[in-house]
Amino acid sequence: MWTDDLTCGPTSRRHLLRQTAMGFGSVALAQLMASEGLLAAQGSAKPGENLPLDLKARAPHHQPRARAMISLFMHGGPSHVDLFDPKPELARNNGKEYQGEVGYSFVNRASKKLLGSPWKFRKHGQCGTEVSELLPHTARVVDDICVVRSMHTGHNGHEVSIRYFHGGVAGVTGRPTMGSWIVYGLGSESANLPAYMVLSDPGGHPVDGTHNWSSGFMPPLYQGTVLRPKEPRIPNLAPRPEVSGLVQRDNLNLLAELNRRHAALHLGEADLESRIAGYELASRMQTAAAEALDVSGEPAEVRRLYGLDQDVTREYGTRCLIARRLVERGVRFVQLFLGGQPWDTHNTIKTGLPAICRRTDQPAAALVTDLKRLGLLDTTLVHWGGEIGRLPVCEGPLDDAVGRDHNGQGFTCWLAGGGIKGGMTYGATDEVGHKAVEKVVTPNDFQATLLHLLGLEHEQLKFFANGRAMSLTDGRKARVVREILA
Amino acid sequence: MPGLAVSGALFWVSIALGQPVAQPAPGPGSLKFETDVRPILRVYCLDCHGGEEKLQGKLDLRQVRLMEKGGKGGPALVKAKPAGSLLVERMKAGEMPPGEKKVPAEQVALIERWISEGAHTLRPEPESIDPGIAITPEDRAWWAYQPLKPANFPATPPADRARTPIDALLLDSLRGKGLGFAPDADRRTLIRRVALDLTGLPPTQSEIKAFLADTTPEAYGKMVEGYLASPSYGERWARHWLDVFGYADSDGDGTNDTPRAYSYKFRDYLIRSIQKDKPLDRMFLEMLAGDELLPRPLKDPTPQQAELLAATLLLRLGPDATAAGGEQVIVADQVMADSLKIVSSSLLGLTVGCAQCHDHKYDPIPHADYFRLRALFAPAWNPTAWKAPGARVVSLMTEAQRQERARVEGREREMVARRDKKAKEWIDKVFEDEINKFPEKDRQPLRDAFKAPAEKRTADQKKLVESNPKLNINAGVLYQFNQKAVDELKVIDNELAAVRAKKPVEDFVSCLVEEPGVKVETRLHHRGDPRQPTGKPLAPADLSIAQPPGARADITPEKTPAGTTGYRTAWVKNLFSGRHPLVGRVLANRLWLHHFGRGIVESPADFGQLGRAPTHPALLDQLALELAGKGWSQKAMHRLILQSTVYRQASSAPANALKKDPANALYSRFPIHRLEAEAIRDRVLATSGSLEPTLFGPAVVTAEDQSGLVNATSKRRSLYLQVRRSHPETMLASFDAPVLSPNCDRRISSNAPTQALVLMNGDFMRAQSIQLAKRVRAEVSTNREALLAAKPFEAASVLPASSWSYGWSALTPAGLVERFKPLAHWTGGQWQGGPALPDPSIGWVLLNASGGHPGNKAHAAVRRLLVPATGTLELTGTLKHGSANGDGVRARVIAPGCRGRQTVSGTWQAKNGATATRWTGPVLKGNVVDCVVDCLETETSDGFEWTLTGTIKSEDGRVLARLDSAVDFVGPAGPSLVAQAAHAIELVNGRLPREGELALLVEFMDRQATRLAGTVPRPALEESLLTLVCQQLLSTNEFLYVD
Repeated sequence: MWTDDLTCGPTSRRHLLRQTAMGFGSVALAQLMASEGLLAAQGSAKPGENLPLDLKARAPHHQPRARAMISLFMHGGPSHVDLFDPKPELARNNGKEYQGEVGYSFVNRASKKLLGSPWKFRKHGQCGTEVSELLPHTARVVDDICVVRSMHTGHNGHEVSIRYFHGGVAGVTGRPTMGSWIVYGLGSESANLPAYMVLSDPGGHPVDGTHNWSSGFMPPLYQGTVLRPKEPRIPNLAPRPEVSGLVQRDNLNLLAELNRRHAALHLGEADLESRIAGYELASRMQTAAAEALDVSGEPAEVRRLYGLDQDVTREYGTRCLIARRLVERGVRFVQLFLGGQPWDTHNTIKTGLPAICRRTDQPAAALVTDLKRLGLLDTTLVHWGGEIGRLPVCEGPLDDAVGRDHNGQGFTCWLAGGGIKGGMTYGATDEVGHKAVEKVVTPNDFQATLLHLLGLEHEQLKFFANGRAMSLTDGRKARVVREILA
Repeated sequence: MPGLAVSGALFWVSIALGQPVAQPAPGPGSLKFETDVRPILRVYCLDCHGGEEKLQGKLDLRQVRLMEKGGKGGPALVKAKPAGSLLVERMKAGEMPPGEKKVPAEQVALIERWISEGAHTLRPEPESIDPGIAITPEDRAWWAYQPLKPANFPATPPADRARTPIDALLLDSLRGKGLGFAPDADRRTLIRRVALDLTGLPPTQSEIKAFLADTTPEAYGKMVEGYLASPSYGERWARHWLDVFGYADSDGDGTNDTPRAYSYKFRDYLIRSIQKDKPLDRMFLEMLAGDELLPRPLKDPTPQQAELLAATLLLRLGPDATAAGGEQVIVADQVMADSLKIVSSSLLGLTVGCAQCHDHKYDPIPHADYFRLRALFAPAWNPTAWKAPGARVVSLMTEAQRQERARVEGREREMVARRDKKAKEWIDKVFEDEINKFPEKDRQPLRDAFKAPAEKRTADQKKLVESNPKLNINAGVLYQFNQKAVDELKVIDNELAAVRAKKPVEDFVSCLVEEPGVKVETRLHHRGDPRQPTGKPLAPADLSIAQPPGARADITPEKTPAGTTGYRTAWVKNLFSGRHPLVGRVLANRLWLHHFGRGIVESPADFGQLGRAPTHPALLDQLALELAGKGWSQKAMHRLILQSTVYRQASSAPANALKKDPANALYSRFPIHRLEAEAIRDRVLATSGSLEPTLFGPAVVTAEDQSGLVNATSKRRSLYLQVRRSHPETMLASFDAPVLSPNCDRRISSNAPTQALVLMNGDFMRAQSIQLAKRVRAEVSTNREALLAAKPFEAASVLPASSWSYGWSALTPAGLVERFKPLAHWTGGQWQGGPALPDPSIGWVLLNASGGHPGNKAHAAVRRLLVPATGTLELTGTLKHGSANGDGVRARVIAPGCRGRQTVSGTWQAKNGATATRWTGPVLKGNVVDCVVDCLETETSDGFEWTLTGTIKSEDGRVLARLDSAVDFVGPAGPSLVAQAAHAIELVNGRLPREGELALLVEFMDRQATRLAGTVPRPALEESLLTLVCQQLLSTNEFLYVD
């Protein structure tokens, strides 16, 4: 059973252990958890059998570097050549005919005229990573992040690539997302909160809707718990005022007693016992989640750091701050989405791109800074990126309304923390930023690498469904990108 | 010792064939190609070296003979020399197989050992071999492909309580452990179990009563029959099948997730068919080939024909994104693959889909078998002339209806014309009226300007039109000028609406219809890619493995009334011939699974190598035989299973059973299991009394809230709620309602904290608990057992008795109460003398929450306060009298004065006005304070209001009690709260309170009463407390599980 000193929030014993150096801390943590009976399901399951379908913390396959992950998913395809992947050749040949072959999504507006980035790049930090002037805040944390410039899905469509990133197979739905796999493999470290949480956008669901956090063929236990974009962020979390507090405590006591009496008539039924415990978790969640989601107590400088004092950044900043608070409290996987696809700059990129950058740049950078300040960056993976990038050529005539079409052949994402080497760039696209040509990273490589940092091997983590052993990377070739590991 | 005798016989047979007995753990010299090595090669090698006609490196690994012969690189195998055998060398070097997936070291070691032992085979290898990975005798030996074997019934002594053959078979394994069945469950448990199992709803109170009262031996059977005959049975069992059929009310085409308007007709077809016990062979024939039974063209379908069409939607139920674009051939291929999965998981119990890209790696399903199976359906799906989802409808309009519609439309046109003509006349008339208001000389130019077509107006005319907007008269503004015109047109409009309402509406059915004469060739898809069909056209056929050795799987097409290929008709008939090894087992297992919450095979859609073995193979065979023997009747199987002792036994484990059969693998007790999401929601609705029992009809749509959550508010059974693949209903989804991509062959029963949150804090549960509390309060007085059970607790009632009572009295000359007599009649809102007002004996006396009415001079109205605490009482109020007639009313407070004698200590009067009243004085707990209103001289028009509020304070000023005569106003005390709680237990759990249970609830309500007292007014307190009790009872495991 959970005991109180393990569950009372950020100052708990477990938390302190986590904060010590990973080597000692994780061993001690494992011992502690074992002593608490939390590692009941250690190691891999028997062949043909799944890991226990619960949320108990489990030992990973190997010593992990990270214990949690926050993914800032940038739906629509951020224009890498305008943000992270400077292409002097492209600028030089602005307006000239591109000689290579291009796959277009919007054939009706297709053009072969190259479009040089209208924005200036500059070297930043000690590492000198080049970042566009559109991302002044991200530029300040380049020493902590690894910019991967050779992402590649091979598909230009949104859904097909989104599903590749989340579910491991391009275009296919009905599969668990990476968050589901991570939680299935590692269980939860929070006794009070769901292990996989999704922070949705006030602009509505992202493209591809609920597939973005589906548990697919896994039980719904591993599905992302979607937080609403505003309070109440978790439905049914708050008891009605008239049945809150002691009234609810008494309710739960009565319920537990009735359930105990029922279980006593059915000895040996573990299911009945675990349901009694389920109410306790839910009850703790009411306060724990409410506390975790309430950013009002954060100091003014932290609120300012995330941009909570400005209209343009307040909403996204609040969610980034909540993400940090969740991870701090033991949540395993947090993903932030944007409504629709604000990065999908088919036209008027000159105004559209700066707008979405203004909304997200400061909060995203603040997350890295803040995690580092709290000593959590070492064990927390942060991901920033979309499902595709954009073409080096114009979409539409080269005027003020010009845009860029989809490009799944080469684009950029960045990673930080949790065993990622900061202050570097990795891979490269061709001279105009069209195709990833050096050290190509596919979504499966990306997944294998992140699982690895979390202590999991993508080939070993299996789930048996429909008579087949399933894995996130679906048996395809995938490499752990060791060059970017610290 | 029968066991030994059997092995002995096998032993002799083996010797006679010159073969050693296969051992479970192979010892030295025992490894054989067929049993030990080939299965490994099949997984890792045969796809490229033997599976396809083109051999990689010209190497064929299907036979030892062929391995010795070898390929381009020379011999792959040298007997007794693993070191010189390329087969092993390349595996060890990590060169083969290519790719990430390698042969595990222990399996390579096994192959090495086999080679060093001499690379033996079980049988001599034939000189020629058919292309592809043949089905071997080892493959055939798998349990699921064996012919069904009638059980060899062990003799069972009567003491073991075997009621059916099922029991005899289960007792066999139980007795092996020295166990037997648990005692029969008590009768209340039994009726609850049967009702939930067969109908998905709890038994009603009257059903329970009737069953308990019937002490004849036939009572149980009669009860079962009653539920089998109820319409709810059809709903419940249709819901089970809908899972495996992948039923949804939407296409699942990306974010649109287009709703399917007519899919509900399939759901209703299923409910009706199950309800009337349509035999499964007939039901599957209709669902898989209903269109083939219908003569063409499909015109004027009768209701029966429409049913058959609705049935065929089974083959169109899977997700279908073909409307959403994408490469049609690929998307449509996926749709067909999903449909085939639905069919094969429902009937064949094999993961047939694994053979879509290559021979199945574990089960004997060759790549070609997959496409032969698909060829059965190809003429109906017709991928070469693929129909978009919206186009798969057949009109249900009859010729007569069509003619009627044409007639009505003619009438409609005629009326519209009449109306337009009338309107035109009115417009012209009104225009003239308005024109005539202008000076004579202006009239004609205006007329001309307005009548001229807009584009032909001169500049002057345009100006005229612009400056006289008032003359722009049209039908829409007629009402501003002439009411008569409007009225006249309205009459025609009403007639028109009446005519339109009678127009027959065209209804459709979504279905799959094979067109006669369509020929579609199905070829094998290279690596499953629909853009690469290869080889010769494949003849439609069942799975090879399902046929006896040597028999052909090809189906012989049936002549059909539709003139179609008849492939599907022939196939279904073959499936249900009674000789198919899979179908009977798969269906019987599914029925068992739903009755017991677990299957005999726990992977109901996978009876192959990767599935789970049957826990009771003889029982499974027996059930499959019974199913066919009983004419594929589901109800006959329900009867058989429900009559059995294994079903009727208690779910509590006797001590020895818990020890020897801890996981209940042997059925030493009834397996307790959680209800499915729909059953939980339905049970809540039924228990609170708010279930709306309407059967059938279009899916009930619930709009999403702004965060995308679907929270159904409908009170109908859950299977009628719209199932949208991408927008699941929140409560149902949290209790594991399946995600249908494409179907669900086995529900899971998870335990997520969101389930607890739904039950604790969800709006649905809260509303239903309130509803249940109301039901309990309305019904409790008829529940004698509950009243009786509550008796011992009533002395120490949960709530303190009310401080107020209501009566009348004559007044002494001093104005004191002569004798307080309670008002005898409660109307539901006020106290009075009797049902009639004025009462024959005491007249007009009445008291309500805010005031009342005195009677004549001998009948003053008395609101009596029994002082609840010792201290200083302060009572304030306003005496109001509203009428100018009569002489008004007088109010007095009569309280204990010096030495405790009742004294008039305050007097006020009011007539057609208001007077403030305030009284304060010391009181002792138990004192009586009377608030008396009398009529003065006349009782005419003496209705009054006098609400008194106040406090009792201690000497140091603490408030000991608050009083409010309006808020505290109560009617007669009904059955106690404890009795209500007892009745709630009975409604929720279908049983009487258990030992100590009421005491627990009393204690709970006691504590909650003190917590709620501050926020909930006294009269609502009882209901609030009961609501809390109800919600906890509805959240218990006892309620969520079948025991």
